Amino acid sequence: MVGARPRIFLPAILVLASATVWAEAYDEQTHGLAQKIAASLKPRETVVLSFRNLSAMTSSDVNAAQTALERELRALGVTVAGPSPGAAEVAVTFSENLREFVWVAEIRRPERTDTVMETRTKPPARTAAPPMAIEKKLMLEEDHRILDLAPMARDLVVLDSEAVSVYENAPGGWPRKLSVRIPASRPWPRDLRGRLMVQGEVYQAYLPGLTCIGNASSGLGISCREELLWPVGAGPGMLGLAQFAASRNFFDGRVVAPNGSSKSIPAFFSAAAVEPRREGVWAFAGIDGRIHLYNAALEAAGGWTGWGSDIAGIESECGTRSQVLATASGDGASADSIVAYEIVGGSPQPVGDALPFPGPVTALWPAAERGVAFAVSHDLHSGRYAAFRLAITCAH
Amino acid sequence: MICTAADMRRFAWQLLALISLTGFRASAPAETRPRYGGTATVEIHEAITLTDPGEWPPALVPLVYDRLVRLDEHGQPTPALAVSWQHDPENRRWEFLLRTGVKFHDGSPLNAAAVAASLKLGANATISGEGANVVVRQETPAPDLPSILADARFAILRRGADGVTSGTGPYRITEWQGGRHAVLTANEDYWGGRPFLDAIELRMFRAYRDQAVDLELAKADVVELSIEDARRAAQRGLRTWTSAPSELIALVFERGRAPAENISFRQAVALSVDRAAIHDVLVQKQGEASGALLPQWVTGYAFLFPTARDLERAQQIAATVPKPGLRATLSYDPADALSRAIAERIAVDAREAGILIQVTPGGQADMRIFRVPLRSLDPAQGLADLAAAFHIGELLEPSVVTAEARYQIERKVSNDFRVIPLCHLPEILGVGSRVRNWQPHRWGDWRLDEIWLEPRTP
Repeated sequence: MVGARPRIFLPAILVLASATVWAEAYDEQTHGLAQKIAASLKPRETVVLSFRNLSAMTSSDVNAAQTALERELRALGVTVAGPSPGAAEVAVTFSENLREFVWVAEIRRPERTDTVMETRTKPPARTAAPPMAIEKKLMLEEDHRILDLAPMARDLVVLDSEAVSVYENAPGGWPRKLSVRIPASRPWPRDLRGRLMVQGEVYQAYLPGLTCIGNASSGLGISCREELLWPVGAGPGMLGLAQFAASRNFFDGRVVAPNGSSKSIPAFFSAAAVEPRREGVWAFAGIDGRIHLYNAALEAAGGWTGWGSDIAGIESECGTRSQVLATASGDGASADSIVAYEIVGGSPQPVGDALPFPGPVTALWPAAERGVAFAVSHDLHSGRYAAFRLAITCAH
Repeated sequence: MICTAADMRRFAWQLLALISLTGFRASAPAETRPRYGGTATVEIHEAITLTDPGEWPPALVPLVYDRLVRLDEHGQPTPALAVSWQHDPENRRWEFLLRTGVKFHDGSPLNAAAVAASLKLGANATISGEGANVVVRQETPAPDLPSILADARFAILRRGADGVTSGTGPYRITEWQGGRHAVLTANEDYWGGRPFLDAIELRMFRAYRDQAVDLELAKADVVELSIEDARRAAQRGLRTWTSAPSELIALVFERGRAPAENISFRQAVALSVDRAAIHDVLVQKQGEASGALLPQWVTGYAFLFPTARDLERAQQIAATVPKPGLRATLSYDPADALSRAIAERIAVDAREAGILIQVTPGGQADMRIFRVPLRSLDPAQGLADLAAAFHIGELLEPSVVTAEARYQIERKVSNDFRVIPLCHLPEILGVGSRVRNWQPHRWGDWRLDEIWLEPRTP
């Protein structure tokens, strides 16, 4: 670990230097060079200044630097004059190398030339501000493991490990209005997952090996039967149905298209549609830890590692209008984050900063609403489950 | 409520029907997306005999071996095997946090102990590792340590009992015929994503002419080109790429040889050299004429070293050298036509100053033409490399942290006239038409792990 000395942390991700910081650095370099030039001169010595620019500095920056240098030299007691006999010639060159601005002054006298330099590390390259951000809104918290949630008119339907509940939109929070227990006939697998779809006042809850349907119009009913197929995706990014392994936490890879045809791909935890309104591709978070990319015909098209096992494709008004939200890789005992990516040329490009969560994200599903997904995080401090509405917002 | 399977399915499909489905399509627009697969053939002039990155051309090292830090397109340090780093106010103690889950190609995990065992930073540094943290302690301040660690020489590797090295990079070595041929196969579990190519076939010790022919016949995808072949390739519409000037060509006076021990003789020769002619004619305006050891883009001060010929002064100084001392021999690499042309040009220039130089291919001589590639973007390290190559280490100060200090060293070398820099040449590559996403860094990092190949057309 780091010792007791004070430390300066250098973040690995370079940040944009502000104009103020740059101006300060610029002044510092001017001051430093003036000091060195003055130290090479006799007191009150007269000099003739000349300048040239071999760097990428703009002409306005060069003009500003020239003016500042003259001012600094005069302040240090140096007499700056036009061409005059006996005056030392100070030839200043604004140069640069890969990483630094290198300002050089050659102090030329008939008998000798002294050379002094002042360098300054170049500011980090201007990186564009994140083109978009994820807006996170806490919807509700529960002691039970929240599996998924979906709006129903002004209410909210929530599927957790115990029940399907309807929460009412009320000032100051979401009080529970109705709840119905899920008639599970056997113990749930570890790392329970579930999916909730709502149409009008009818909901359908998908759980491992069980699908339940109910209506919230009069009371809250529930009817369940053994069923393995879950919907994959949402909205225009709906792949079809996929078989969820009854006693596991993943899809076993059998996929049924809307036209009834079926196909097998490697088992996966979650899937995301990429640019579903065009010749879309699908990203599958495989149980092998890799993200597998498939084209619209479900033919393998590459992949990568480094993402977590929950991903969701959403459409927005930003960037390419198609983003994939992905959790970070890690175990269930650490804080988590979600990052928005765009898939460019078959490779993921982050398009925003990581959105932190106080514990592992246990569920991430796309919502029917455009540009929205729901995420559930297990707060490692409180031990409670918190459900969030995530929406992509464009940077201005 | 009674619910049947048919009801459930119907409901599910109603949901699907509400939306416009992506559906399955027969084909995808493959031309707009990177293609996985294929083997790229890369040819190089050098013969690499060992699977040790220290012996490799720096451009190839990142294919197999990662570093803690790498450089972005602006030359700034960016995370590689280290995801972050911090230092104390004196820049003596640096701590690097390692990326988790990375494995060497032999399956062993990357950890701080392995990194500490791999990194060789010299006698002034101690390296220790604990868990995921690597701590480097330097006796002298090292403000640029992350940039230095981006050098290929600081590649992280694991050396097996048999001496064979294992890296963590995007490709692993699957075939190796030292000095001739190697196959690098995609690392499926690479932390930065599996590369697009399945493999890279590396053909070594290939003559430049043969490489140019292979490029033209589409037998190779990336080749090194001589200046002459580059000109021909460009005329024929082949794709070429030129790096920033990165190879120093210098005239070096050998120690212990009578004429070379006379500083006036050395100065007269140095002043007689017409660098402009060498740059304009012999190297066809590639790179830049230079009087400095390191190129301008690396130091920012190379312009301070004059390149202009001063024949009058050369003649004056030569006149002070006793007559027998105005004869010398100059050797060059007989396999290198450019070195020969430059040597002959220097002889012609020197003759105008009254100095007789006999040019010989190889062997012992009073002077030699040297070609030394730049192997580090860190100017201090670059200077140290050149000092070692030219055996002028005694001119190096113990600490060359500042540009001013480096300039003073170069000035001392320049005033000694034992090493006469002539020009800095770029690296020129020929790139096959199938190669996509060719985005090397201008200082010569080829970034072959980023490329992908169009399938061959029948």
